[in-house]
Amino acid sequence: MNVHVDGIPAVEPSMYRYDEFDQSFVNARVEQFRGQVSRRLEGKLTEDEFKPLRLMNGLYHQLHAYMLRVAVPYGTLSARQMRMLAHIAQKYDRGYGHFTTRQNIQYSWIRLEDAADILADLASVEMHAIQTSGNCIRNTTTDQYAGAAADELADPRPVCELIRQWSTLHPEFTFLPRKFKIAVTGSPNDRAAVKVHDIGLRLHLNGQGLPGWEVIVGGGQGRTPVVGVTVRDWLPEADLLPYLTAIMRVYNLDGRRDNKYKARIKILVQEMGVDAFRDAVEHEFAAAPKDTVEVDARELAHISAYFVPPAFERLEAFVPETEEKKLASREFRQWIKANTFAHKQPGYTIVNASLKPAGGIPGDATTEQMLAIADLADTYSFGEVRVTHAQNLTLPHVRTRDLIEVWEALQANGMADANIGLIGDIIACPGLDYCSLATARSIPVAQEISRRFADITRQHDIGALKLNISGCINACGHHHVGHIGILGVDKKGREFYQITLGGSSANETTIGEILGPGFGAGEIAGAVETVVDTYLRVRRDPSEEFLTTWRRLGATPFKEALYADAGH
Amino acid sequence: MSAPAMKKKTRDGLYVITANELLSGDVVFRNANGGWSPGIDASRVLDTQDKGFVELAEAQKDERANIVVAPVLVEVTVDNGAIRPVHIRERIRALGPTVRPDLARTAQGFSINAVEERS
Repeated sequence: MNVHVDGIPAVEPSMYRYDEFDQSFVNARVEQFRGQVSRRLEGKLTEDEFKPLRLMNGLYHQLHAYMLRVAVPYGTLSARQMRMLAHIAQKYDRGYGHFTTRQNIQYSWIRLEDAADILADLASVEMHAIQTSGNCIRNTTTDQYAGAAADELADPRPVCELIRQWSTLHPEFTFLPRKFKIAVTGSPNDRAAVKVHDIGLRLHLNGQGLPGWEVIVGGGQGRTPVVGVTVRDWLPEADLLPYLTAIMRVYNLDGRRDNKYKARIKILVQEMGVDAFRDAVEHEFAAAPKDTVEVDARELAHISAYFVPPAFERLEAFVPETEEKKLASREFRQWIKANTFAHKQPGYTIVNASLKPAGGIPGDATTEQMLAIADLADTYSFGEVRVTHAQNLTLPHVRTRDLIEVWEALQANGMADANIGLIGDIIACPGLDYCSLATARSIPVAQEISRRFADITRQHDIGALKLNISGCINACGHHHVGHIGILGVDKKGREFYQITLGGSSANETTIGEILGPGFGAGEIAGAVETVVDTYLRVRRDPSEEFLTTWRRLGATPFKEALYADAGH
Repeated sequence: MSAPAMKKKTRDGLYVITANELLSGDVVFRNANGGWSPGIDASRVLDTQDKGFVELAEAQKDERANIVVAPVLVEVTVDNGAIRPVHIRERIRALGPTVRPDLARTAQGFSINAVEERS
């Protein structure tokens, strides 16, 4: 196969590029942090003084070492940026990184003395770690297929970038009651989990065909999972930033600061009531000056110019070689079915690289894998890569005629498991193996389950099934919205795992229902197998997906099977 | 007559002191020489919580001297000289992530592959 190895991008990807202001700001921030680290090492800053400064630059202290969380704005990376992430993994970490459910990447073995150099390296490719921690507006997330999916109304990334610029170091919103997360989708099929974010934005066309945003507020997971509520059905695009500002002002003023567990906007919306909250926002919105609207529209137009689609060729949608390969190879057929998605441009296909090999660590990628995906992006996908909130990577623009080569290259690099959206595609937080907040391990549970279901044909027979695991109540592993969710807890010093069923972050978002008593570490994988076997036994036919069966039958058959088998 | 001073309630048990090195962030344990070692086996074991608090006060001087961050007492058991934290969280801290045995440190009292045993 033809793969670039010289590190020079073959094409300019369709994505935002820093202007002079962005670059000088990020560079200045690096030098500011370098000075702060020096003062810490010289003893001029105590840990209490230094901690908020390092957190503002994404540098946490976790179970084993410093952890650096790098922002990947709305999950979009150029091949050049991916190569830099690989370089950082190799030079400063232990040869790998962990892609997260926030479409970011984390490095778990960072030395404080290296932190400023890493940020300087990131700045050289227009990246940073600002606002990946703290009570501020975090990285805006979106559909990993943005700008490529056949089913989208419009590319949501220009609006994501507008929000990024608006929210970066916004003086009014730097010390919110709690962290704040915004997700955006430009597709009627939600792949960005917009209803479980503080604010979710969903693009709609009105009767005149004009784009506008449904504004959903007060969703979230964590210890109080809530499905967000719609406060505006259709907001003109020009009003977006003033309206977001109004929401943030109501939250900033009225959100609770007395109890961090009740400080998210979801609690405010619930305590005020949806109507009162909406009235407060509308009042704030009406009272705010509108003189920024024209500027925003101009800025959005400026940003949108960066996201013009790549120079697609005019190609036939039907590629005989690909179809023949599908007939000849079950493996390839399964991969096409699970790991590719329809592109808006005929003759192109969206390809997902799975970071979920059987027995692997969900979301972890080695230096070599990052370099391989960067090369594939340059050669086959206009230099673009996406990070998915399900902890996989996406090549958004692959010619259908190149699918066989891309599949073979992904196979050679351990990223071709045909399991996207299936039970092997497990979302798992780092859990107690890495995280200071965790109460139980997540990754070993994911590994054992993925080994039990390693047979790809069996996974395909089971069908669409999202299994999400969190190692504590903070729910970074999105267990509340897993079709099967697993929450790890500490029960008198032992790891225990609670199962929820029926969660979903798709259009019809639901929070999973706790099934019953939890299971020990040695029992949980078997319990999941019982749930799956029960589903296979009671589903109407192979076309009835797990979630549909659950919604039709409820908990009873699963409880009966699970607790009879488990001896509870 | 003034009220008698409240005596802090302490627990029986064995303790070691752990922290993270400021510069590297690595997990370290306070050793018998009053320094810091990467392996739990080198730890000074304190046989009461009171002694633990006294040693912790010494360790906090190293925090103020910018050598380590966040020293804490950790309860352990000792079996034939092998030191083992009581809580799984501290066992994982002592050895590294259980899912990456290639990155593990070593300890006499337990292995990374069996970190959850006897929890």
